[in-house]
Amino acid sequence: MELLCIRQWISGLLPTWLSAWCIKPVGGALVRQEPEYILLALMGSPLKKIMLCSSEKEIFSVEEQVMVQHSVIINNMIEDGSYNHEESKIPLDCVDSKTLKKVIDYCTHHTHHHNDNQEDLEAWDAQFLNVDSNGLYDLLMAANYLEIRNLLDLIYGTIKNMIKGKKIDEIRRIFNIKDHGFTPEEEEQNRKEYPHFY
Amino acid sequence: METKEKNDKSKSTLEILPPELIQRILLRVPVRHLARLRCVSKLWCSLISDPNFAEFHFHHSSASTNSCFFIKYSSMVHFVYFDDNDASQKEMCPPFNNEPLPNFAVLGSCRGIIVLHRHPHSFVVWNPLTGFSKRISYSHLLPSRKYHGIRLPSLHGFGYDASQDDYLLLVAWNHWERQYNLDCLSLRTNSWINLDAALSKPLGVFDRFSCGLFLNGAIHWLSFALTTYKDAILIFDMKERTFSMMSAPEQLVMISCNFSGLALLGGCLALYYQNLHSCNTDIWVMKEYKVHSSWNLYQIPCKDFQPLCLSSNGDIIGRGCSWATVTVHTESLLPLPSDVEDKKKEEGGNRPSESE
Repeated sequence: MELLCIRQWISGLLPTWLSAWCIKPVGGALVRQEPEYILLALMGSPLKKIMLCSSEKEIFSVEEQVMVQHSVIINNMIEDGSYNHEESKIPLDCVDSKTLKKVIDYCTHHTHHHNDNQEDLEAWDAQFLNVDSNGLYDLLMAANYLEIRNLLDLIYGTIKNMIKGKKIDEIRRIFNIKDHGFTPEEEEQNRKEYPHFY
Repeated sequence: METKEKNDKSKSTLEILPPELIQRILLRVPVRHLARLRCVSKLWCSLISDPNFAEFHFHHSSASTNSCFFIKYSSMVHFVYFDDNDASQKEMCPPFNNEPLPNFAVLGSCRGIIVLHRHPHSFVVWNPLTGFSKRISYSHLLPSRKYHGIRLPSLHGFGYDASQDDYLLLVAWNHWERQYNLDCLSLRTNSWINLDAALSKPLGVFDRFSCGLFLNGAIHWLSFALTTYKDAILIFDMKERTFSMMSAPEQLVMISCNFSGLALLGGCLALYYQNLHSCNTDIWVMKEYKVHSSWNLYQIPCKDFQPLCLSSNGDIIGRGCSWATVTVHTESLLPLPSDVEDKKKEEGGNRPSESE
């Protein structure tokens, strides 16, 4: 009953000339298509899904709108037509399943909750990034590859906070810097210049 | 054992990040912390020391994270940060090489570079973050100008000419015959230019020790007398090297000029003074540059309020009367235009230079 009302409402929005156009080739014959579905197609079909394939060959189905909004790479692929909805999946060989799932979670949440207040979003982001360093690194690489600007900003900010106020040995450890590359004389000079940093 | 070690490490270490990503992280670090981050590794040192990075960082980080108050108090300088996340302070010695009785004054700050007037007859150009400093004598200007004793320039301004990647320091001394001699130093060429001819008419009586405000590629000074709103502001265009005038709002209440001045509030030119009738501080903000109708009045119910800058949430930060000189200073790691050659000279110093 509800669906019927919605369909009638949408039909009411459509000009009659458009209803005449609502035909679609199916199996070689022209079939009259329901106008409300054509309207949805014209609107960019938020329900349209795309397939992303992780490095472990696992397929993830996600709303096209969500990924197009966040990932510059995926947006470009869809726009230039290199992605065929019926057959293709987008292979992401440098992103593993666990990370890809997290990235999709991030994009989906931010698309559906973009009207939430700032504090709630920030709290969700903080919880989202409550991962170990390996996880953070993987997310950074994935966000960089897919060019997801807001996720990148978030991760850069987190890493920046990780080094805030830390001493040099701690920072070297965080960034896995085993060989700093300074000669003993240079290291000595640095120590003299910034004694409180060591 | 080995696995356990690996697990412990994985809790707090990132895998090796490519230099581009390290650079992007460093772009978000306030510039005052970058200096010591050069010690982390040779790679970080080269990333941070790259002049392109310094330029990029200067243009892309928000002004409030890198701004501070540069305060001269007796013989030391203090940096007071007013960033939301870090309201800290630090103290430094000006670069006078252990000379006795450092007597100096602050003339201006632009893009991380500070100009000091050093007794007896020199200017010192200094970037406190990079440590680079250079002393420039102006004693050659004196004999022909009949100056008596040591006097600070009665009018001065310091700004950046983007068209030449050069910094210009303008100084004028008022002659006892009430004439002004206006000279301009180019830091890039290290040469002096006399600007008397650039003035269409002789300078009026400007604020003693009036400090120019650098904004939109020009230096602005406020007229000393403020007897009329018309042409109350003198402007020097850095690129064209010409002078022009701009009027203050007509509603300006003619008042004592001891506490009047110009400030930069949120990127807009602001004119302030003490309003003796209402015991307020009146601040006129020119919302659109050089659009006369865009002057907006803000009244602070407080005497002796000298506005300095805006905080990140739009509050006006100011100061009361005191002996300390307070300058708004935006830190940077930017070098002076002819940095490289001079630094080699400074480092070479007393040691024999390395063979080419």
